[in-house]
Amino acid sequence: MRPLPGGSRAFLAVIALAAALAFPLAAQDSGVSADTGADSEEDLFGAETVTETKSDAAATPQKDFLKYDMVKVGGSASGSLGLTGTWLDPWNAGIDPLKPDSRRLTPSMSDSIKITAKPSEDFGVNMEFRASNPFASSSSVLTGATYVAAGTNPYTSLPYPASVKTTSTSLTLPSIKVWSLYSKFSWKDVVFMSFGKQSLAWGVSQSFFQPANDIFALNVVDFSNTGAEREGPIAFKAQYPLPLSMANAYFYAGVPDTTTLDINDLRVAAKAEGNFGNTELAAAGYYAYSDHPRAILMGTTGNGTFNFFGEAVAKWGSERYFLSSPILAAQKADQLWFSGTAGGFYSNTDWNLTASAAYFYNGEGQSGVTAKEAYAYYYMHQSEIDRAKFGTHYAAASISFSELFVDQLSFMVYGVGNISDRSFIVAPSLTWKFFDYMKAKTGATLSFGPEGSEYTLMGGGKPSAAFSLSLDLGSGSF
Amino acid sequence: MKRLLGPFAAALAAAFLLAAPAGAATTDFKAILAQIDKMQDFGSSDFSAVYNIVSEKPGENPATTQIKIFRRDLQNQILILLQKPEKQKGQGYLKIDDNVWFYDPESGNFSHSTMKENINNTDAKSSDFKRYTFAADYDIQKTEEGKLGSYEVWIFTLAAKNTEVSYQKIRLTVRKDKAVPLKEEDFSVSDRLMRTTLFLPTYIKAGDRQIPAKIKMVDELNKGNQSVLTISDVTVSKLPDSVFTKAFLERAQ
Repeated sequence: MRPLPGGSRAFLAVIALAAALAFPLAAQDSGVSADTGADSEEDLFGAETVTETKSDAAATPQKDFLKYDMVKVGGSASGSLGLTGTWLDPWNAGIDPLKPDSRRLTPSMSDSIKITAKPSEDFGVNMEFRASNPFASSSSVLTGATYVAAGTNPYTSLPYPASVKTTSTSLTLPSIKVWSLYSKFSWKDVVFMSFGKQSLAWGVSQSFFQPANDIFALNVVDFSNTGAEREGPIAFKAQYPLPLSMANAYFYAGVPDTTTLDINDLRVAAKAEGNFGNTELAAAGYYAYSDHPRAILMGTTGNGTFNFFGEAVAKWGSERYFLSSPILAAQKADQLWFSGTAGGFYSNTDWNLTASAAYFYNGEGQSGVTAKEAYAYYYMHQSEIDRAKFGTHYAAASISFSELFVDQLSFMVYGVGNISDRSFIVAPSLTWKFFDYMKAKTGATLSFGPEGSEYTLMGGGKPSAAFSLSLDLGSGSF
Repeated sequence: MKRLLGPFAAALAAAFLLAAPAGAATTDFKAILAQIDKMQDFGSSDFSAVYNIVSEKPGENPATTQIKIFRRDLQNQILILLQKPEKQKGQGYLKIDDNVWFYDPESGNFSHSTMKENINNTDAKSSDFKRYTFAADYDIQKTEEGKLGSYEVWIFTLAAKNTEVSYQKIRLTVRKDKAVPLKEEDFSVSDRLMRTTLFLPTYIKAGDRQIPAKIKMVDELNKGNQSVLTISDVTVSKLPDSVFTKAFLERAQ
């Protein structure tokens, strides 16, 4: 430290003395904040009042959440009117703003109704129904069948075989999906169970890649809202929390989403999780006679600002038909396959910022063919379609600002790429909130990559650019 | 350096002697902080309450957030459940020891969180609902005397001992007649006033503890933003162990 000159030393001493002498006055002044006003604080900090609560040892405040006197109904509505224009191969062919390759008006209205009944503390029923436009779908239904015996055509004298003549009609049915329908029940407040059609979020990844959740989930991850609940199958779930700890043991049993089921289709899984400092580790196993057994390790750590997660899945055997050429495919049995994801989230509430990044390794990735060739093969061999991702290495990232510069403006961008075939999509969007129930949104979905690569498939195998402008109208929850 | 510090230190010492209030010399300020903490510590009892938070922002209608708190101070456990607004209903925080989990019913997932997080865009943070730990988390840097409203007060300037707390520096105004805080001014690391919290002298007595029934929080960074917390439905009855579990957050939907 550089010594101060003598004049400065004397000056400091005087300032210190003056400041110290002024302490009591300053203390008194600081007790009355200018921000709230002296008068208001005088009013605020007047005579004290004390209300005594009745000491009721039998009070059970937690019951308010476990037992309802009546059935509760809630839900949400989400409406928008959008215009989307798509340009194919814009990076080579260029973009004529007035002449997109396709143009669509996209009115959208989706609703959900949630019904919750909790007649007793240890039993409740949850159901959620979802509907979106078009609210009805038509299908052809057989109304009659007549046996026509073999005979000879009287005009041509040619014989014809026996056949069945059918009549059918078109039926229009409301398009309402049962998203979940399950009951919750518990045993002696020790083991908590649920049975029915329900989401089974047993993985730790809430990011773009969720290999653990993929096992039971019926739908894919929504890249624009990776944390959204995924549809689950009919399943049984039991949870045993180790008292006064964050350790839990789980058991799951579920069935695939098909109409004809056999005992071989039953899928069972178990998971145990425990905390070590601020790190949670979990180990899980999955078995089904008609599916490939898996062992899973999961872990999360973080401090709320920076959070990290990882999932690793080891799978014995694979249902995948690996393509060695555009027309030849074969399964590879009795082999261990690995997949896994790792990533992190960063959130900064002062900046209204959330950012995430994730990597995914897929041991069952295809090589030697393009995604377009694989798509063409599976189109012709639909019984060989599987749910594993096409490539081997993937990466994804997102950044969102819930408020950008002003309260009304928000911004989000995400990108997902198949590193193996060098294709990726980027989707930025800007939303302006006029008021709670009316927002304008503009966004783009841009795809890049070599011809036939995975993320160019939305443009028929070529890079594409889709721009949209939409109005969110009357969206809200109740 | 000695030449510099000699007269400066002497002047400072003299100044402190002149400035120090008569009572301050005999007051055990650490004990006062410990008493504040103790008054909010329900010990072997459990604590639950409903907090209504009305937030005001310029140009917007007041927004109401309602949360239910379950606390077991003996084991450093807390569970916070959002009841209003409807969109966030069912979201919750579970803190056991130093681990904090956030539950989002929309995804059905738990994620690591922090007690520094604001509750539903209000001026209240999760840490505002846990028991006070002033004595454990802060060192006393300075004490002053003052008056706030009709109360003679001590004003503590506190510096954080760790980075786990929401604010690294606090000015805490405490009643002299009993160890009850009236005002808390929270500062950033760069000494900028971030938030002022006023604990109005309206109390709820639960068991042998007394908690403020109405709290006003003023966002000092965004002028006009403020939240008023009102506490009701206070109980100190024993809660089942199962309340402080992830399973309870899922069942409470």
